[in-house]
Amino acid sequence: MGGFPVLFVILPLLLGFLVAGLSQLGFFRVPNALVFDLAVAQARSTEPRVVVVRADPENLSRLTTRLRELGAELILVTADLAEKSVPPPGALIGLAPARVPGTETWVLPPLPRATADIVPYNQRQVGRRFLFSIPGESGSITTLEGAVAGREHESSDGFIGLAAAAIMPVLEARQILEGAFRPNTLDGKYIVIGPPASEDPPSILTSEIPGSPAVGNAGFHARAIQAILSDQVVFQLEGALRSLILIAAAGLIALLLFYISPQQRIAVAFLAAVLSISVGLALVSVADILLPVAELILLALGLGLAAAAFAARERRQRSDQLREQIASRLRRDQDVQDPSRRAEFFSTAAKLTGVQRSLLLRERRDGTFVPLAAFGLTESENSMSLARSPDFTRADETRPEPADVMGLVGWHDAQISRVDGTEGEGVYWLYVVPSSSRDYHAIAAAAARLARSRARQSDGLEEPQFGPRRREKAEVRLGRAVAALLTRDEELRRYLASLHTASILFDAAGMPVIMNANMRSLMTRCGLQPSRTTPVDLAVAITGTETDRVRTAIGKLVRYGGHLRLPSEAEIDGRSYLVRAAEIAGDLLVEIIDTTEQERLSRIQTELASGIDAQLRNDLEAIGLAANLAGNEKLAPEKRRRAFGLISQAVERTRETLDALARLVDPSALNAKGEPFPVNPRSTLEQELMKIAPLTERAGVTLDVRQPALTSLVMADPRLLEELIAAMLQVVISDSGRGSRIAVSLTEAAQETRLEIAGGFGLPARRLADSLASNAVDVAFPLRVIRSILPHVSHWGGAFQAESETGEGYKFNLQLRRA
Amino acid sequence: MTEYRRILLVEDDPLLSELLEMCLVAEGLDVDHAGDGLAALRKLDEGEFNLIVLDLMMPFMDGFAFLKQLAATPGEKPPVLVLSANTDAQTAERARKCGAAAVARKPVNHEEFVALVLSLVEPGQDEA
Repeated sequence: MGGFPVLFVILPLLLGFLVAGLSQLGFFRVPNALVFDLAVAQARSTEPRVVVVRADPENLSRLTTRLRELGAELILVTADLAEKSVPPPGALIGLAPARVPGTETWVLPPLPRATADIVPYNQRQVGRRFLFSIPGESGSITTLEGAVAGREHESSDGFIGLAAAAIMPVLEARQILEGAFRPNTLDGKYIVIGPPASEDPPSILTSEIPGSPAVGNAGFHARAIQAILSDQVVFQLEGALRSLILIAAAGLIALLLFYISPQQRIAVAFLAAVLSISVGLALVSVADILLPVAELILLALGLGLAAAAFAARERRQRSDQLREQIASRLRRDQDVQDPSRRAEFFSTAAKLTGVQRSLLLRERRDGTFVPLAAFGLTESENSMSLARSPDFTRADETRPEPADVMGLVGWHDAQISRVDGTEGEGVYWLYVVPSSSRDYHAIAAAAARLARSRARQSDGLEEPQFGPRRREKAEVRLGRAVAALLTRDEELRRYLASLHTASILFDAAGMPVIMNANMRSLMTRCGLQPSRTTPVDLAVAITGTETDRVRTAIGKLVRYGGHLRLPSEAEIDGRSYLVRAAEIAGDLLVEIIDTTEQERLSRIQTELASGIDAQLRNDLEAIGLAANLAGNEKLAPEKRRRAFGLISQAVERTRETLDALARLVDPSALNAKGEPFPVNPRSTLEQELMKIAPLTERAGVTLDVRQPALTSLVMADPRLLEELIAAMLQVVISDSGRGSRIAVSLTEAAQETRLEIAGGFGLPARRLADSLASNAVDVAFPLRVIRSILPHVSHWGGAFQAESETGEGYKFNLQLRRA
Repeated sequence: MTEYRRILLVEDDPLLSELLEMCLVAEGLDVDHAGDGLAALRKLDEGEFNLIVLDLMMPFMDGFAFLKQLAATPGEKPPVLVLSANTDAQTAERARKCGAAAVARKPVNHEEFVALVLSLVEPGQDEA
């Protein structure tokens, strides 16, 4: 019932009927030319019964004779004209027209009713002139002037309308006397002879309704006259059909008001008001809507509102019962000691109470209130949540700007409960019950009122709306309930503080609830404001991942639960992080793990497996063989002596290998940037090729990679070597056209390993040399990276050459000393 | 089978190369030395060998590349004994697929190494 078509189509239509009915009763004066136009059209005279003839007093006698010849049934002379001349025989003397400002009312003797036509209330007492057409001797005479004059007329059926004689052609005496009409043209007509048009008051010469056409508007009169003569009825509801429609309309209105929610009522009422005025204007113009319409609709409105009020009261009662239930449940849950269950506890509490939105506030001794947690906000509401309002400070912010203080109990749908605390200091829980919650602003409004209340109290004034008994009751009932929340809040705080990882708990709406010191420190380093950071903000800032990807991943996590791991794609201060998130009973626990050391340890493991292990095996092999040969009787003495000497060499080499291993695993060297360690160049190159694959694909280039299956270890800082290889690849790829090929070659010489990367369009040699040699800032970023790493390469015992010529491409050559 | 018992030792580590050569010479074998795969291929062009003792990790052309190149060479080829410092099974399996007759993992025991070489050089004696 509460769907879009019903709300936005049917309801405005029905309200349009209401407006139409009310306008019939005169509640609305509708200054609209169309209304008047069509009202005239509804005067269903088959033909004019009254004809007005304007004449000078001297023509009165002759005119009367001629009118008789033409078939006039009754001839009436207006009083003011009769005063100026002798009334002709057979003519009646009429009364003087009422002199009402702005109108001209012809007061006629009682005449038989032609019809009981309805003219809107606001059209009564208004005179108009229009052109009229009457058949003449040589065709229609269209230059005649007509008038509609009305007055209040109570008909036998109780309707107010225009008298039958109100439709009156107005002829000039000249036209009658000159023989323009055939005999019997005026058969049965009532003739009113009045003064000449020149003596008409100015008020009837022009339109009196704003926006309506003036007397001389031919189009206006043509429509009206055509409607009169053709006896057209534009629109009319009759009998049973009218009754059925009205009953159905009333029923629908009642149902709508019963079913739509309070939030919808506001929007619907606004739209309905706008649309109903338009619909009503149209209906009042074309339909024969009468008072019963308004009566029935008003009755339906009353019934609907009564039903809605009854339903609202029932829902309030149900929510009260729910609150009582949660109070008892929360009291039992005080035994829960597990900090990890706190979020679950909040979620359960919210479900049990039906709480959709709530806010936990802490009051400080100085009267400042700081939000501790906000629950149940949607994502869109989060951006405008109270906890982010400048009127409030968060517990984790340093700006304890004094806010207003607050009292207790509830206002409207927002309930406020004091949770615990001593005098002048405590925690309050503000929440909105779902049955009647308007939105989160209700909480804000309640908090503000609460604050004003407390402020008045602090000034020695009493809050007038709430007595001490009601306040005490609210405090006891809800205070006990939320006391349990605080216990868990502290437990959670201690739990997070004990974690080495930077940890933060967000509520389901993405609002930060609590965090530990490590997280606060990390956020500060990343330039994030703790109170304004959502899980998506945090994950994007830490990992450098695209926002959409993070939003999608966290959205799935919130919807479906489970865990999320997002490795960082960029470093912060030379360190790598992993974002780990888990959904816990509706809340979101986010941990940031520093993986820098893990990566280094992983690299050590890799190098041990692939490089140092092999080197050590060679060394041990040499020692074993040399020792065996030194004692081998089959060998000549000089050969044995030589073997003995080789033992020393093998031992020395083993010591060097072990030294390299020691440097690799030295914890103090973990953060020493630029220091050389044994590195497997092949695995490093493969890793960078994998990372840069998306760029390669986008650029449409092909990498021709040549490298040995096994490589010796070289001396380099692993992280800087990665950056250097990536930068060289980026320079060449970004300079290559689609379809071009880039040569990547890793080769080993006797004492060194060489990495060559060649391709692209190239730069003038001088320009490349300048870019790598100077400190200019307008150099492309990858070239700046290369420039910054070059000093380290020589420190490792390696060398680097870069060559380029326009059209011939780049050629980078990196030589690294074998370990 | 040639009458000479010539061994081509392919090893880039000078120290280890010298020691292995001494081991083999002590057993009466004639040893020629190559420092990498490319040099070894040239040696094969120059003369015949009864066995190739091959290290996998070498500059210019590593052991795997050498084995592939050798397999592509027409004619009779000597068996290859691979000495590998890599301990993983995949390396040994890959070497065998590339044509290695045997794979020994470093550090090898002297006696076992000599016995393995001799078995490959003189398979008839082993069978006998």
